[in-house]
Amino acid sequence: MGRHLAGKVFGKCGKGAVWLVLVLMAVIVCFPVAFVVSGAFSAQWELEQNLGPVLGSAEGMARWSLLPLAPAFQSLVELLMDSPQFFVMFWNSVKISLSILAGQMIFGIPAAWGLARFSFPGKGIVQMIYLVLMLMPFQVLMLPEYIILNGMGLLDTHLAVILPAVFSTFPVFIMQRFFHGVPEAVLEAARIDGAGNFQIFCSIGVPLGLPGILSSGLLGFLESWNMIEQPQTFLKTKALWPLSLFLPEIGLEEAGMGFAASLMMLVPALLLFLCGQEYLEQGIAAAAVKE
Amino acid sequence: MGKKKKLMRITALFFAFIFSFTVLSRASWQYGTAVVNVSRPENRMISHRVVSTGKVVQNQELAVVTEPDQRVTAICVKEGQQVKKGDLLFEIEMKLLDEKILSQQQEMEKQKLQVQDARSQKEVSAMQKADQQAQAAENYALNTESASVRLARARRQLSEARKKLKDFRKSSGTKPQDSGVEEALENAFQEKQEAYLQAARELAQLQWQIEKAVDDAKTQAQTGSARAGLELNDTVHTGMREGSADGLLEDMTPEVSAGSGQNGRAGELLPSAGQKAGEVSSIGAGWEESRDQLPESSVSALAAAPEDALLEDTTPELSGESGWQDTEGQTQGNMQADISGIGSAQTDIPGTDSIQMGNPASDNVQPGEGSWDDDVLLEDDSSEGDGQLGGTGQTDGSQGGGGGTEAPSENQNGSTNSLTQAQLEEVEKEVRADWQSRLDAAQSRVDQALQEKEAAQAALASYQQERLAAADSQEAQTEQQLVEAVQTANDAYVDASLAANEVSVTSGRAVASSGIPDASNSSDRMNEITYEQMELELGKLEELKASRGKVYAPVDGMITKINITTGEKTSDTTAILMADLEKGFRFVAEITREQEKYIGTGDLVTLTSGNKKMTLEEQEVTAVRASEEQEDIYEVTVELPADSFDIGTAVTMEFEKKSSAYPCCIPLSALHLDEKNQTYVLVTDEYQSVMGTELRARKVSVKVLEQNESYAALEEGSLTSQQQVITRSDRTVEEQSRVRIQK
Repeated sequence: MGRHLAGKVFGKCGKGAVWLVLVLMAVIVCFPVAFVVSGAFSAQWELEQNLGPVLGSAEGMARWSLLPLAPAFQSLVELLMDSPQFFVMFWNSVKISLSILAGQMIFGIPAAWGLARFSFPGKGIVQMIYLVLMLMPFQVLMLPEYIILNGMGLLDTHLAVILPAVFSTFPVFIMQRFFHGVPEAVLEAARIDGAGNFQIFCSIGVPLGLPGILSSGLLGFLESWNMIEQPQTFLKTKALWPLSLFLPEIGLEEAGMGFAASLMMLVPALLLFLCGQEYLEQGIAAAAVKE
Repeated sequence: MGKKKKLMRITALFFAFIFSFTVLSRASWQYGTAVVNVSRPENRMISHRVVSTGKVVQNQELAVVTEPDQRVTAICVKEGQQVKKGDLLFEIEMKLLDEKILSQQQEMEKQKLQVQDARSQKEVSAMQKADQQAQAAENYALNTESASVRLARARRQLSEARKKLKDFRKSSGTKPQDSGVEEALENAFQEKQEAYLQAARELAQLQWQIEKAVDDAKTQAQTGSARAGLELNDTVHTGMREGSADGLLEDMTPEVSAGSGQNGRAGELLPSAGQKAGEVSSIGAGWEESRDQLPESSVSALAAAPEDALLEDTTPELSGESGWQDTEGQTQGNMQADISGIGSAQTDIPGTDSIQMGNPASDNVQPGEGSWDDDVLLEDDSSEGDGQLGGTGQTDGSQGGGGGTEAPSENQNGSTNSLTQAQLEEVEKEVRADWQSRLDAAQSRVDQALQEKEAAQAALASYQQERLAAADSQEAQTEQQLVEAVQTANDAYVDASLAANEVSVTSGRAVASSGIPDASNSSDRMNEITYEQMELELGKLEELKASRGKVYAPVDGMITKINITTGEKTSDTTAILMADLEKGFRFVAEITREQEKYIGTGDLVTLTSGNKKMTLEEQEVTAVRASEEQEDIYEVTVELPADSFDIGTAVTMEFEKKSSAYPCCIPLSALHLDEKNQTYVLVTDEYQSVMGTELRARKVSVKVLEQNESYAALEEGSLTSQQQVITRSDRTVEEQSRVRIQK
């Protein structure tokens, strides 16, 4: 009994310690978000005082207070009312992200279905190529992409950013995993019932692989929403820039607006994350599971 | 599921929120963008338009004046009225005018009497002056004569003493060698004495010359040209013959030098004296005769003289000397005759005079002593001759002197520029300074000659004493007494000779002083002038009376100002001022300094009357000059043709001056001035931004070459022809301001 009690107490203590560590880690992880939120509601002079040693020429160490000394909506109002550039870039980001998502759906879903459900000669090589390409960072692909886009006359257009992302291998890889999980019996039954391949894909494959498609979409959205290198490399015209390039343009004098912009930028990603949280988790898990 | 829907709704709201703020921020952005008008630099001319309003005024104003202190009874015109030549302007009261005329006539009569009084006074003064001069001349003659008498007496006494000594020696039989030594000593003494007297005479002559030079200088300084004055003025002093102290003195000068000549020089000097006499202009008949007789007269004078016996012993030099003396005397007499106008009678008088003077001296002269005596005599006479310079020949001389010295006073009367006493003294000082060195030299010569004479005299006396001491005591004593008597007489003679010199100089100075002119007196002429002025004034009054006190317009014109009032008296200023219409009109307008830069004489302007009824084009500007009353204001004058605008009409002048073409001209509204007073313009530049292609303003410093009220010409190269310059904006535009071009 005593042993049981001791075990119980130890179990409770261990649980408490775990909690403590987790909370601590959560706080550390969440700190940047809190940093952004408090910065967005701070007055410009306070930001300059605190961040001057880092961003400006002031002496001493940078400071930060979780609650601003002089809370103000000035930065947010300035961003919303006086910065049409922000909105231009916001909508550019929306346009790019949605276009990429749409492209990935159109080209990625059939590709993933084909690779998951059909056998054909060279399938292994294709899968290998997909895998290799997925692992390659943007810096490796940047030059070939630039040359190709320049050859196609697509530089300095949104398509220069959208098209490479549309044909990204990562969503195919995620969705292939989900489509692969569709039972073969169901497909056989459909075939017996006289359904063709396209009908099977549309009526059985897509609905059954929807979680995969959604998780792929969410991951794709987050990636394209935060994309920096591609637009910076392929877009010269500022009017075409996505929101991710808004912040690099901001200095210490507009730090408040930078924080407000970060907050606004955070919102759509956060909302989408909350909406598709379970699909996202499934997607990340699917990517992590080894066959 | 409900949570998902809620999240979806939130997402939708978020996007709606973003969309709405997109719209709002864009609206705000556009609101913050300045709307501007732009233009490109263009090639054009900068024209300057000068517009000014002025008035038409008359070219010439005419002042109508009348006699002062006249009562105005009626004024028949009013200001602004146009009148014709001969129109009645105003009338004055006749009664007052008559009184004024009468009063003026009475005043003139008084003035006339004053003129007569002044003339009479002047004549009396002149006569007094003449009398004064005649007196001085007479005194001179008397003084010199008495000195001559004393000199003659001393000479005679000396001759007697010598004769006695000679006789005694003859009777006592003095040894030849003794007499030879003593004679040599005596000769040496005589030479020294002669030299001393000569030096003394020269000194006296020099003093006389100095006095004469001083008088000359003063007279010249005071009269300017004495002779000119003489010729001009011969009316005041009647009975005075022409002649001048100058002439007299000039003539005297050579005589002095001639008189001072030694025995051997007498012959040489004679012709010069004659020649001098010959230069005198109006020479009487007597002079002619005497000149012809000059050689003979010297001889006849000698022959006629009772002392001829004495002179027989004298050397030829002596006779020549004597002859010269006579001739000199005649010459002077002739000159005096010329001056005084007396004629031939005087020619004899100097000769006689010299003979007379010679007579006492030669009476007792012993033949053996003639040489010494005559020397002295002749010297004496020549010094007498000096004395005659001022008025030789006594009576005649005094007349001549009177005539001669009167002349300067006439000059003085004719001259108006008399000098002050201080200036005259200054002149005198200068002249005396010029002569001072010669005077000092003459004085030193006199001193030296005196010392030498005294030494010679002492040597002679010592020899004589030694000789007499060795001789027989009785005879020696007698001879000693005789020698002493001779010495005493000699001393007396020397003293008399020096005294004669002094008298000559002193009296001559008195004569010259009396010749100095009196202060000028122009009162008679001044009174005459006053009378003439009154006469003119009366003429004007009578003219006014003749027109029955009515004053008429002298020309066609317009009355611009009336200074008289009915019932009041007139003043000596303008009664009525009128514009002379016959002389035309001109347009006068005021312009600013800025406008003055563009309009000048000869430019053609357009003139428009205030009511725009009449326009005159291409009227030439006749003058542009700075206003005397206002700073930075200029007056433009345009001569108007006849029958154009009326006097007083307000007229607008317009003128446009075009510059040469400038390649870079912008509207003046595009030009700005910064805080450093530098001109700049704002041009639009295209920028690529997040918002697309946007326009921003940029400052460009420029240099303005020329500008008018609309355009400014910029230095070439300031702007390109493609650049858009902001000419107008709906708000303040600064460097890097966003702008939007209004279409």
